[in-house]
Amino acid sequence: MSEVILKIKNLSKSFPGVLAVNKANLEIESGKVHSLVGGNGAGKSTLMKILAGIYSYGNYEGSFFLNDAECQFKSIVEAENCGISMVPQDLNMVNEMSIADNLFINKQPRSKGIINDHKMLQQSQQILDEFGLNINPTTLVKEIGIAQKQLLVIARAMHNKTKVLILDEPTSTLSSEESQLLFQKIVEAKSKGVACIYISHRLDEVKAISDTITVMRDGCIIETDNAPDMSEKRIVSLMVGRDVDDFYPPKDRTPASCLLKVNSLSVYNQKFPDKKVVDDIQFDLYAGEILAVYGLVGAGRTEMAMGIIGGWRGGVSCDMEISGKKIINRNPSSALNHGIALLPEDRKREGAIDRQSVSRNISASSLPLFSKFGVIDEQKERNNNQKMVDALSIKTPSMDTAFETLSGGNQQKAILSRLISTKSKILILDEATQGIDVEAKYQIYGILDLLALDGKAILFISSDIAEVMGIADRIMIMRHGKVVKTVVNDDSINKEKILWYATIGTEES
Amino acid sequence: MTKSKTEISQYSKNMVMILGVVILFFIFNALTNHIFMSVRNLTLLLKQGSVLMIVASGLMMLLVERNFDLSGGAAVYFISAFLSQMIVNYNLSIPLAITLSICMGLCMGAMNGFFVGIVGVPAFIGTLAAQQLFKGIGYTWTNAATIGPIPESLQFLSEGYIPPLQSAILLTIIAAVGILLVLLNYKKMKQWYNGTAKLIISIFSIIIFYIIALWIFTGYYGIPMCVFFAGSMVAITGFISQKSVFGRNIYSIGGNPEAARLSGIKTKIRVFQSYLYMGLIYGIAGIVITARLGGSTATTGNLIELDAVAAACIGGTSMSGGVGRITGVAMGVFILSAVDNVMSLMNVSSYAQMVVKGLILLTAVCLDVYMNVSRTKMKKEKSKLIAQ
Repeated sequence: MSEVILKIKNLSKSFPGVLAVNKANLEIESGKVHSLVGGNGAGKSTLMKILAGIYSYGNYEGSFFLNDAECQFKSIVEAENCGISMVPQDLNMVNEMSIADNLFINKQPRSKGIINDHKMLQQSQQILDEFGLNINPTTLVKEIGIAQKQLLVIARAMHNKTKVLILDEPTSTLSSEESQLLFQKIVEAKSKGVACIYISHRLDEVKAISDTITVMRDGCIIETDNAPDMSEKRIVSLMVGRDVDDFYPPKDRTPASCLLKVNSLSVYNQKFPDKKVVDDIQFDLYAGEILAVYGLVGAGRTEMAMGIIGGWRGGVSCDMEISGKKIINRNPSSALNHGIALLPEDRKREGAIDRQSVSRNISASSLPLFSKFGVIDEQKERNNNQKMVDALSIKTPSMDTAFETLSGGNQQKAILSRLISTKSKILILDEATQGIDVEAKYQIYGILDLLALDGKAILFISSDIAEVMGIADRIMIMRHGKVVKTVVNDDSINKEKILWYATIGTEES
Repeated sequence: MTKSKTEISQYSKNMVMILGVVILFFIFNALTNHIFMSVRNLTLLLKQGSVLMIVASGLMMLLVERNFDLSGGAAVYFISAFLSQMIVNYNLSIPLAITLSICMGLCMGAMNGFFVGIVGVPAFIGTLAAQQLFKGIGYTWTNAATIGPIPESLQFLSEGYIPPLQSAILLTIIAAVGILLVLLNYKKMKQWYNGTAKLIISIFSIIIFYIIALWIFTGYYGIPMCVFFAGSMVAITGFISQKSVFGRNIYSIGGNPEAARLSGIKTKIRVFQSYLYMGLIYGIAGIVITARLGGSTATTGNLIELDAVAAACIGGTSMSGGVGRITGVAMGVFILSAVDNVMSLMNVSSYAQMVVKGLILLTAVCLDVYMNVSRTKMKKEKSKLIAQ
């Protein structure tokens, strides 16, 4: 039978002025999956970072015990040697080094002090095979996809000595196939007696994989219960702190005329110019509607968005018209002139403008609207930005606060307000709600609804079926660079149907 | 509430810097037998720093957008040689020669901008090549010879003075306009000022600078022309960087080039334009330095681009882009020139001067790194706070 392997007693961690973790008590059993859920800033990651030695001994109060021995880790390495490994949310891999080098970073197989490349490659290949990754271990990490990277980081953490494996949002970038593979690995680890702590925003996954679920809110542990007794609705209401009856705004929008007509769009791979990542797709986007684009990783959704706005760095052949007029977008700036704005997929890398204030981030795209002869009317600009902060309830101490200090959800809302400020008619949102807390998500849904009611056309790219079904008027399902099916989102649609199209690609037989 | 904390820390950082500079100057004064703080010496010091100031203001914009310019010194030399040649050997009229020099500077900036901005050559390599080109062409053309002397009317552009009375009037007008603009801005932006602390500090510092400037320039011959040009470039750069769409875009590009591109900023064009501005700077700096030296020599402008980097760094411009203010850069130039000046007064050999300057740069950058680390620490804590 499973026994308690990790015991957390009265663990608290405070940052000046804020209690991030408040007297947490938790017991983790070996051979089980224990999920931690909660909004961003609930203290899950902070708690896990203490366990993994990222916040070293002395920087927190309380204690925790591994097999009844108190742990006082001074570093991550020490924690790993004792058997606690953590896969952090941001993928810490060296882009310029090969996969093998990354897998064995700091622990390369050596003979007489010299790295044994042959052995390292062999072992790497073994790991890659185990995870079903068909890549050469000498490939540089920068050349592989984000999902593959995620799997590699997990592979790295699952070494022999691991007794407690902490996974922080591991599936946020994985497709469901890849997630399935990961779950399989977790089950394998479980059978070997490894305790797995699983942090995720995706409740269906949490439900599917966990034995025990703990909900955290504002640094406190609110409730721990067996997974079968935790319904999704109960989890969400515990997370938010109030009952949520209706996740999504009502859909009483009436799409008007066709705003964007894509007659033919093909996008080519950057490295292999013959390979199409988006293969001759066509679709219409109406004013006043939310058209969701669903597909698994590699379906070509991001590439499609980039192709439309002219931001793709490889080849694009595009034939499209706005309100009946043919247009060509050479770069994102000309797309903006045509009234198309994009919220990029990777908030940190493509969205956030670092070391600039919140205000400057909001108006980064719309400065020409607030300026005459290239000189900014700061009052006009500020008024607009203040309006955005109020309307989207962006939580920020002031307009001049550095952007990177905001929480993920608030950053995303600020970037969304950057799009809105441009007064563009067509908004393309690529994974707008990825990795942000539930409350911010609902706010964003509400904002999108208002925008659509206002006559904007919204192309909403998402990997979350529930979200897609909750918000869209129509759903366009993509697979391998092609549009498989576009369906009207009514009662005849269900999750299984959508997933069927996205994975199998044909009509249900 | 939290806002005032960061604001105060920002102010306190500035205050610490200013206090440090003041203490430093008193030490300098003691070391040089009270020569350092004499009106005459301060005027000379400002004159010595003026060309560096002009170059540094252009370079700041490039550093902010994560670019670089190694060709600054060579470009200034080339313009200087070009202008001297035009006047001494080709007998062109001064206004024509000056116009041509500015155009030449713009062309050189455009060349750098084309290769770095449009073609995408890394700035370091592209401008290194340009450095060799400008210098090489100049040396080949003039045989690396000294060209001069230039007419006195041209020398006036650096060595002349705006007489004390006119200087006083000019300074008063500038100070009055400055205060007026600050007040106007306050009136328009009241909602976001969060109290009057910032307003009072702004007005107070304008008045202090006004008094100091009045003391220096009415005590000696007045405002030197080269200082006037340097001041103008500071004002123009300050305006462009803070108030124009171009400047704002430059900061965005420095903050995150990919995000800037995807939010519809024409990054290539903006980079090109920033080098074009640098080209204008080459032209003006080249003219002022020629007027100052009375001609052109092979060592004119030598290594000034690196001094400019040092000055920008000391003044808080971040090497990783997105951060930098013209007031800081001006402060950096002033500190560097003051150190130069004091060591010359103390008869320190120029070799030892290099050692001291190196140490100062290192200290400044370490201080900046330290301050940034403590600030990011605070930020992280704050972000938790907001997240809650």
